[in-house]
Parts: sequence; C-alpha cells; structure tokens
Amino acid sequence: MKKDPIHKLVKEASLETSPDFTDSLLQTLEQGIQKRLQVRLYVLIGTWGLLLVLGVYTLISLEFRLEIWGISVHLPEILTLVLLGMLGNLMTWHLLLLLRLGRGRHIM
Amino acid sequence: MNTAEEERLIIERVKAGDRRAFKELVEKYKDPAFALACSLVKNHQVAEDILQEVFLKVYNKINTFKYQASFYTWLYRMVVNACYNELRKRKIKLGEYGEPHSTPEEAAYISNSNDLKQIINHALHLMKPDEALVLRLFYLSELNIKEVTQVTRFSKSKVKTTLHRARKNLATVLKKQLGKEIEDL
Repeated sequence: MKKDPIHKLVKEASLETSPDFTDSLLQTLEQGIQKRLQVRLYVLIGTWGLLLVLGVYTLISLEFRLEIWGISVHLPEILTLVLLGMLGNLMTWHLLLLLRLGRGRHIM
Repeated sequence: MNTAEEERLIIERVKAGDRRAFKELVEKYKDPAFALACSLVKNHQVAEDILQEVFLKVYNKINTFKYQASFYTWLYRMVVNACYNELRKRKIKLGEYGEPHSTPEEAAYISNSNDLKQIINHALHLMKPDEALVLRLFYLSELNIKEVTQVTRFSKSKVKTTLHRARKNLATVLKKQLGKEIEDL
C-alpha cells in the first residue's frame, strides 16, 4: 500500500537524535527519582518522628492529668491502647511505603 | 514470540521499575518520535528537549497505559501534545520556529547538495507542520490512516486530504530540486 516513491524517500529521510540523547535522558530520570525519593523519605521520617513525639507527649500529659484530676485507672489504659494502636497502624503504613520506595517506584 | 508480545513484556518490565527495559523502549522509539517533533516545531534542539520531557512523562505515567491502543500511538500522541503545548507556551504559531539551516546560505548549500537525505529533510522542513507530521506518521512510522487519526485527532477525511496535499507538495519541491532523478513521482 505504501510502496510508492514518496514512501521510499520519506523513509530515506529519517532523523536521528543526538548520540548522547538516551544517556542524558536516563541520567535526568535517575536524578529525578533520587530527588523524589529523598524528599519523600524526609517527609516520611519527619511524619513518623512527629507522630512519635506527639504520641509520647499525649501519653505523658494524660498520666499527668490523671494524677491531678484523679480519674479512674481504666480510662488511660484504654486511651493508651487506642493511641498505640493508631500509632502502630500509621507506622506500618509508613513502613510499607518505605518498602515501596526501596523498590525505586514512585508512590502516592 | 511476536513483536507485539515482546513489546508488551518490555512495557510490563518498565511498569515494574526496570530501567533497562525503559532504555530499550527509548532506543526503539526516539528517532521516529524525534522526526515527528521536528515536523511540528521545526527546530532540532527544541524537539529534543520536548522528547526528553515526553519520555520522562512516559516513565512516570506508564502504569496508566492499559493497552487500549498500541504503545506507539500513545507515545506519538504525547509527543504531538507536548509540541502543541510548547508552541502555545511560547506563543508561536505552528512552524514559526526558525531552524538555523533555513538561512539563505544554508538553503543555497542544500540546493547544491547531492545528499538525498538532506534534501528531503529540507523539503519536509519547508512544508506545513501538519503536512510534514502526517507524511512522517504515514510513511516513516508506517501508521495506517486510523492510527494517524488517533495521534493527530484529525478526522479521517482531513488526514486523507492532508496526506494527498503533502505528497503533492513534497513531489513538487523534490522535482524542482532533483530534476530528472525522480521524474516518476
């Protein structure tokens, strides 16, 4: 169907990218991935650290308030469990994300 | 295993984060995609920059590719879109990018040149961007009319008329340039 003279001529006139095109592209890609990994790693570590600090602070302040307010002993235990559960969930989620990051794929 | 299956495997490897597979895809499609970008922006450096961005986008968006169309139509569509965006961003109408080799001296050199490839490329460079694009998609990348409509978003009849006009214009330019050598065009 396309075997006319124009076909041959256009085929003849193929254009080529510069010789370093692929290497330069792969280098840019690598740099982009590394940068994105770094940023996301910092965000994850920062969030995790913040959650830990907040969690510990909340637990401490709850116990502190308990002593002042004299609330029943059972409440802080439940609250502590709930908080620890939430923290555990968040940490697991973050760990899973970190594992995906380790495979070099973009996340989120 | 046929080529389509092989390509599917390569794409799956890219989806899994294999950069060597991505390199294979780039090597396979960079030159035809570059020619398409050159048809629209008429400048090799700009076309290469656009292509770099497109391939990075391909890597990041490959998970959204669901094999509803062939990979090359998906890629070429991205290239065409990126070229239009670039031209819009710089408020340049189609084909207004000046390539250094369109200076009078260079044009004179090309008209005296015996290098067929250079002459044809110059002729394509002088053509309207849409015509050069359709011509390259149809003849260089060997897409059929339906695939050309998918890449360009032109109607089937527009592709056919553009192709007819492009063929005629190219033949006229080349006959002038090459004379007897291609009288059968």
